[in-house]
Amino acid sequence: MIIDHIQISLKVALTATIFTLIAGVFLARLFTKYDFKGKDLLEVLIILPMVIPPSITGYGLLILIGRRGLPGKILYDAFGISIVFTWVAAAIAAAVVSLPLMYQSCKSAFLNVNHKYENAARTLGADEKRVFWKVTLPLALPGVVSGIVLSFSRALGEFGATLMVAGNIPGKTGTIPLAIYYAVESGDTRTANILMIIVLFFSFSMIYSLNMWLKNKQNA
Amino acid sequence: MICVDIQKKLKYYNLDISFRLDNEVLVIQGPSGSGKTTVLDCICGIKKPDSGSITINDNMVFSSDEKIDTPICSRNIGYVFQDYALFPHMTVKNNILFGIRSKGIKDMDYCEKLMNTFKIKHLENRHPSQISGGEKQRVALARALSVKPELLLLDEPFSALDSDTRQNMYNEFLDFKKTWDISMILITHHDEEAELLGDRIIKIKDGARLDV
Repeated sequence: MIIDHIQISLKVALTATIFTLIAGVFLARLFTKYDFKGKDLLEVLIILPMVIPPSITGYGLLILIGRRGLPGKILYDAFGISIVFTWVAAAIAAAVVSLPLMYQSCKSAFLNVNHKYENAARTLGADEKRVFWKVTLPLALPGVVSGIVLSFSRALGEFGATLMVAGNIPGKTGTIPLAIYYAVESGDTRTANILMIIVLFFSFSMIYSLNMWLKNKQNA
Repeated sequence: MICVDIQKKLKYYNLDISFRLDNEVLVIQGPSGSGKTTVLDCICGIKKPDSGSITINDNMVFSSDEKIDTPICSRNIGYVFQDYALFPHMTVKNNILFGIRSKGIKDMDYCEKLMNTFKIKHLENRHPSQISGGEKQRVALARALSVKPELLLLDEPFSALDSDTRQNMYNEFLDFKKTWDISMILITHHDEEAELLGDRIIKIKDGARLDV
């Protein structure tokens, strides 16, 4: 039972983190390098889930990906797929709430890369793709890795939005935070304690490893 | 033959400069803030002039009239930046290989040749933070030459060095000048440096030539 919760949580958090990594790096690069119409508004939309209650984010997602929402309706009518109350819905909720953290970390990291290195690379014959992969991204790596750890932790601990779009279906959508809540509510403190210790140990190890890695990188 | 004739509106004055050079070291000398680095940035494509033209060996890389603005990566110009701008996350060898690989130069021994020429072979596995100022300058020169450029730009390459190292590097530069048959534009605000290293000197102030 506990293993099920751990497996679901890891599956949801990993999927959400992979999505936020790709989207966060892409959006941060786009927003730091180019100016376009509607940029400021779009940026607010990306960051919004960080400042509004997760239950509102969850409700918004429920409207969007539920069968009455346009994306949800298209998916259901065309392929017979319903995302709501599946682990995919939990992963979408986790991705939406953790994207602002990844985006902000990547944006700061890209802004901190000195343009002289990118210009040096260009004078050495590198096209924009090579400049990004060989110079900008490696120099921004500490910020990107911090973003991965923060957004993974946020995705792992996501509760409100997940509850709204995925519920707590044992063996299907029951992530650790949901399981702890329902265990405490039903008086099962043993399960709650074990899950709490696992999450604390896992989060502590991740943050500690990140700090050590950053420290070693600075000293190198 | 390198032909430069550019105009650009800057915050406090208008940059308006023209000159030609052919397999020589042209020194652009002037006080801080006189527009020297902007001239180099316009030539290599980092900044865009408002008007004018830049031709490098019959290849027009910029022309406001003909709407030509060749990207930086295709101009084939080597640039030694003021603080060298060596990639901090790469070793000395990888800094030099970066240009060779970007340009798709097949001669992979070229990197070894450059490292031997500039006496930096023993530093190949070190990172820029682990080498001295003089060594950084040699690496920056080797890296700029790795793309076999038609023009080499040097933005105050000796300014970060202490006086002893600077004297040594002047001698090394004079040797380098004899060996490499390439047009160079060197920027400095030192009279002595300009006289010693340049074949020809252009003095500028507030974006305009003083000798015209």
